[in-house]
Amino acid sequence: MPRPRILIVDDIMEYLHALQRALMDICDVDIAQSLEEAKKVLSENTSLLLVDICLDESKPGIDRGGVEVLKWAKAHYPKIPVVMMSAYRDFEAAVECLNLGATKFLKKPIDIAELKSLVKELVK
Amino acid sequence: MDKKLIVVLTVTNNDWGRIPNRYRHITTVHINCDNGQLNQGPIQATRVMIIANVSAIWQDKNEVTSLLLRLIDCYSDYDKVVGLHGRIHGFTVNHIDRSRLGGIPVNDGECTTAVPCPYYNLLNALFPKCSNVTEVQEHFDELFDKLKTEKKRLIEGITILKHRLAHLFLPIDIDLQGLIETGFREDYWNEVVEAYRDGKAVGKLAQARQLLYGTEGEEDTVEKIVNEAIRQAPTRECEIKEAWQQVQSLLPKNGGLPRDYKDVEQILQDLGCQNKREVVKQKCRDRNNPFHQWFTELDKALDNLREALPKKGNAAT
Repeated sequence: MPRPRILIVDDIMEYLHALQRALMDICDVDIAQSLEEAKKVLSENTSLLLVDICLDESKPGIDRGGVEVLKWAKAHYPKIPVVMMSAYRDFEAAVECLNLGATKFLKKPIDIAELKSLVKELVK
Repeated sequence: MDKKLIVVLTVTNNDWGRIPNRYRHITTVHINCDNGQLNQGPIQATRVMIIANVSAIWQDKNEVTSLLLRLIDCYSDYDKVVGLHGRIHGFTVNHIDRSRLGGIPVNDGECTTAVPCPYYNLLNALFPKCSNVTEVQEHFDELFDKLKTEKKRLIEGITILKHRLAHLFLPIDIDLQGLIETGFREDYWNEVVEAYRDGKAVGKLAQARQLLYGTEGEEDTVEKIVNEAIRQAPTRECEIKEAWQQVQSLLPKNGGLPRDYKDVEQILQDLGCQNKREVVKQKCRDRNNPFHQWFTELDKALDNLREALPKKGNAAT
């Protein structure tokens, strides 16, 4: 069975690299910082998408670039599960994402053991 | 559309004049302080204006101020405009204890009419440039829009700072959790050391302090936003201060981190040193990843502070 491949979209490169290091044991990790970058990387070979709601550091709590990634992914690759994450306790955003087809909503700071087991479960 | 309510704090029914027809589109509640009943129950209004009609009968400065504060507190869930008006020229200023009002901005525009002081004179004093109902309405809205913008600025300010602060530590948090998961596997450790070489990790504490406290004359810091929030909403001072103290206790302006998290600074220091793998491993094992505990606490405290900030508040007429 091929190694699962996941795509993580977040605006902070250091965070993307840390997640890449943490998940390299269980899957290959592609990274992107914007919708445009995500469009280039996302393919049918992607097993899971992990997306931060805010993709513009200068507009936290306002920018919803991640929601656009979710919409685009669901329109083009409806079978790929999408997990959203956010640094805020934003109930409305969570409901919106779940209504748009997200599988789960994670609040940062993320528990890496929980994330790993979630990835394993969703890429089966 | 916003429903407007004007609450008038006055002394006796004799002070109350006839409401002129041209102001009848605005709901008014006349509160007589003689009976001490300030709370009028649930109100169908989104914007409240409080006018204290301070009269010569009130000789006790503390009593007047206490009543005004109680009245403001009754409407703490609403956006408010607070106006103080004296019946006699120059009277109000002497009859309110400004220090107890904290940062509540007040307009002490004077009503220069002689006794009795009817309601329409108060409104005329509040809106001296308005010659008709439409203009009064617009002016009322203008005041509240200004207030709303100011509240939004505070919330956005703290959100941006919290975001920056969280992103200083989120990568370290993931790396330490990942290292613990793998038992500090050597190749993983080497990659992490490379990422945080030259004190890059411990340097983030200084960057975080800068975001919280900054230095004089700099742009927004969390401390500046907290002070501004207290100035704007003194009735929420305790709640805001309590949330801010929690943040401060986790990352003090000066000195080290709190005793429970004394290892965090050393862990951050050692994270960029090739030969410190066993030391960091030991500290993370002994105290069950103190960095994650500290960071989670700090993140929660910042969330609580953001929620404590006024979403509603006061503005002067």
